[in-house]
Amino acid sequence: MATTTLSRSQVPQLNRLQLFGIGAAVIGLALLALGFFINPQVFLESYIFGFYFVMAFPLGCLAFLMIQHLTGGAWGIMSRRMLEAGALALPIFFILSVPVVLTVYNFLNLDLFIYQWSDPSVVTPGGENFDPLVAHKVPWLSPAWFAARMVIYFVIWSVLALLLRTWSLQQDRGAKSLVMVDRMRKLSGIGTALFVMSVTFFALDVGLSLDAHWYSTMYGVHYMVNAGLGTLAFIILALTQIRHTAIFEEHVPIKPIHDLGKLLFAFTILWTYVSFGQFVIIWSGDVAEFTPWYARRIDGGWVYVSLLLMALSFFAPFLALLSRGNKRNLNRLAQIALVILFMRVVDMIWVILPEFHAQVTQISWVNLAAPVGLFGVWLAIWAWNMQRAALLPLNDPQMDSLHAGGHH
Amino acid sequence: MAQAQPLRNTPPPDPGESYLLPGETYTSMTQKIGDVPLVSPLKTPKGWLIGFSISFVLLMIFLMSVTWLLFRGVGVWGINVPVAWGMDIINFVWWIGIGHAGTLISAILLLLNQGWRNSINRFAEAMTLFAVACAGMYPILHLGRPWLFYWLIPYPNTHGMWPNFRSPLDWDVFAISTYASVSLVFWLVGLLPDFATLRDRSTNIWAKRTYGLAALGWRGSARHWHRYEMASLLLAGLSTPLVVSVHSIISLDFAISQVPGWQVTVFPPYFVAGAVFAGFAMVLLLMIPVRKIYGFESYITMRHLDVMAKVMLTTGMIVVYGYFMEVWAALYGGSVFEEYLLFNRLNGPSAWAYFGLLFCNAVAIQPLWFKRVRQSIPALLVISIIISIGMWLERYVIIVISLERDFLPSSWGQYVPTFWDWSLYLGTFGLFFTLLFLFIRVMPMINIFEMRLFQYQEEERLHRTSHSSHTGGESKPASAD
Repeated sequence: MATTTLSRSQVPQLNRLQLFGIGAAVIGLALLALGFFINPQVFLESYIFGFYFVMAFPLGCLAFLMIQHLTGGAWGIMSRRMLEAGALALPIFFILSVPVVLTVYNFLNLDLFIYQWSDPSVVTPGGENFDPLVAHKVPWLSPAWFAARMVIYFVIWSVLALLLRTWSLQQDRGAKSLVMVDRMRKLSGIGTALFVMSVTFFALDVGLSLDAHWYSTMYGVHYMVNAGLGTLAFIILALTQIRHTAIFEEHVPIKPIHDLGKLLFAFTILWTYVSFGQFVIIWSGDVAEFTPWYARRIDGGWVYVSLLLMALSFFAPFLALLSRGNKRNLNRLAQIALVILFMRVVDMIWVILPEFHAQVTQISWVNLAAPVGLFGVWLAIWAWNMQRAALLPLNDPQMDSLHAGGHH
Repeated sequence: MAQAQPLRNTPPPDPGESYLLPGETYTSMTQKIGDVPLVSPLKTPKGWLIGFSISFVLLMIFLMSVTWLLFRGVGVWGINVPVAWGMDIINFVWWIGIGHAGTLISAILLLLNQGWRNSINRFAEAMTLFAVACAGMYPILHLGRPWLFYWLIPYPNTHGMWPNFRSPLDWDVFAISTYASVSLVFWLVGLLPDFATLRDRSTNIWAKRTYGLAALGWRGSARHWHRYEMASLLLAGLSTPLVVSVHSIISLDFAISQVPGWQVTVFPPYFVAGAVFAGFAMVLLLMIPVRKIYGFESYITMRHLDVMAKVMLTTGMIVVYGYFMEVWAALYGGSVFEEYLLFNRLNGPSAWAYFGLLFCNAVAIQPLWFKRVRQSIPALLVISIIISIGMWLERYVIIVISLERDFLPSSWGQYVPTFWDWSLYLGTFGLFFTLLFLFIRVMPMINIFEMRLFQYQEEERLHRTSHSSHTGGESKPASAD
């Protein structure tokens, strides 16, 4: 079926969602800009927090896009276009990473460095605030190498996202389907390995190094699992917006949606496993190098955020997703996904903001404007891309797996 | 399903792409698999007798080693202070890791609707049970006074003593005993319909009675099948967290402490991946000769080996990620002890083990990226052996290298395994293979009824693809219902 023009039946109508995204972007970024004039320090902290949080979505999309090319399956073919649309934002987020890179060069001439290791007086021997432990990390944590790494990460991710999208669209236009399948699968294999390493170091660079004394080998895994969980929740919510597109109603039975629900369940447990694993190891070890990070997340009222995470990021979705009925009803599944998506913000608040605020009450509206604005940007890009290709890759032989599930 | 007539003669596009080779019928499968255990004792294949005899000799070595250990105490081993954990714990972790592939195949792949697991799950589950049996011996024997092992179980007693619930060594007791019992029940439930098949097919009255007893009155009624399916799903749901929890808790045996190289937060997922990695290597290592000897090539196809190799590559790469993060932490963290540990791994007296592990687990698996390697039996055999050695070395590196040189140079020591360390290890192979040979001899090693079901599903799938290719790839959902 070699169509070059897209009919109304093939493309979801997401204009309203796109406008919503643009609206959120404008309002969020305007408030963030306002914050800049009030306090540049808070502005930068918020931007880094927002950027780190929102990056989880295009990265999560890229990860699942490659995974579904490798594993196949009805859930994958159903979600492929949504994942492509989300991952395609990566080149634009490359541009949005510029303020983060400039931060380590202290482009606003702040008195207090956001990244302690970028402060020359901390890392130069004889400096007034010299800290030997931070100085030890300098060859790795130096502004130039930080910037170079950021370029490397985004080039890898952008190339992967663009190639996978281009080939997938060529397949739509009638290019040799099996050749394309093979090509996308091979790239995804290598891509996954590159992805895991690059995202780990992205998390260590942007997130972990905010505390230049602390480290944990689980940190990168936690970020990836968080991204996966957020992306799955988003995809399920997005399904509620596109389910009435003709092509979707024709081809997609409930089975792959149920499967996405199971994946959401698995990732909820995985998130808990990773979070709790890191905690229990550090808590039991009780070594002064590692415990301060958790101490900061217990003192100053942060313990309530920790408890909220336990309740709403594990217990509530875990119990709700145990039920088969909840996973097979898209409306109910979407409600659970909404809670999980909201908890991703809380999780990132918990991971990042205690580095800036000793008290939970010090969280300001500027802190929250950044994730809203940047998420709006991503959402608008997603909705725009969604309307540039058919909702399902009809020429892919995997389409069979959708129909195979249709009997049940 | 009127249009789903079986198309018995439609060949799949490529034999390497299929999970079931053509030319099999329900009857031929039942005969081929079911007749292996039903052969009269006098006609037992020679190869089996030889293999069983060797295993049995090794089992005697096991008994001898245990007897000597009980007689003289743990001093017969090479353990000392500071290396109080030696081959006992290395082999414990190694064996239990091997078991994980079986549970992964039987439980997780069932939940993921992966039909290809049908032809390998019974065998892999049996392997799990026997590996857990071997593993379970070690912590008990290593207690020093193994006859008091029940002190690990919390029960009200006249000593007024309780185990330390904050110790992961005690969590091990619960994790492993739960794992072993759930795996055993899962395996036995799966065997019921096949025991009934054997009961119905055997001509010998004693075999009929024995299999009849084992089948627990299975008649194959709709109600039986309904309950069976429900029980399997529930057991799969129960086993799935166990795959993860057992090895996570074993990783905590190390990570909870403060020893350099042990307090690593990424340990739990990295240990689980390593376990599955080693387990799949062992499944391949055993399955390749078995499928050849018993002529099961049309059930356990090249495609199976290919997929298992992919799982091995994936989990292997996760393990490599773990190694990488350890090195990163040592270089980045700024802790002298962690830095020294890395130096010691690279230059110390046991550096051979670290380099060996890097070669076995990181370098040797890279050829698996290529399909040609994944579908070559000699290559898979060689790589699986290398991985099994590599994963043993990993535990050696983690346990011995860390303990040999900890914080204080004055308390450093060295570990040299003794004859009794090795003989016990060799002996557990005897236990493992004796059980495995007995299993092959008296039970159907491939799940007969699931293979019949799989045959039906494959036919339906072939039918559908050939149907959709006639309509030029623009397939419509089948309008069966």
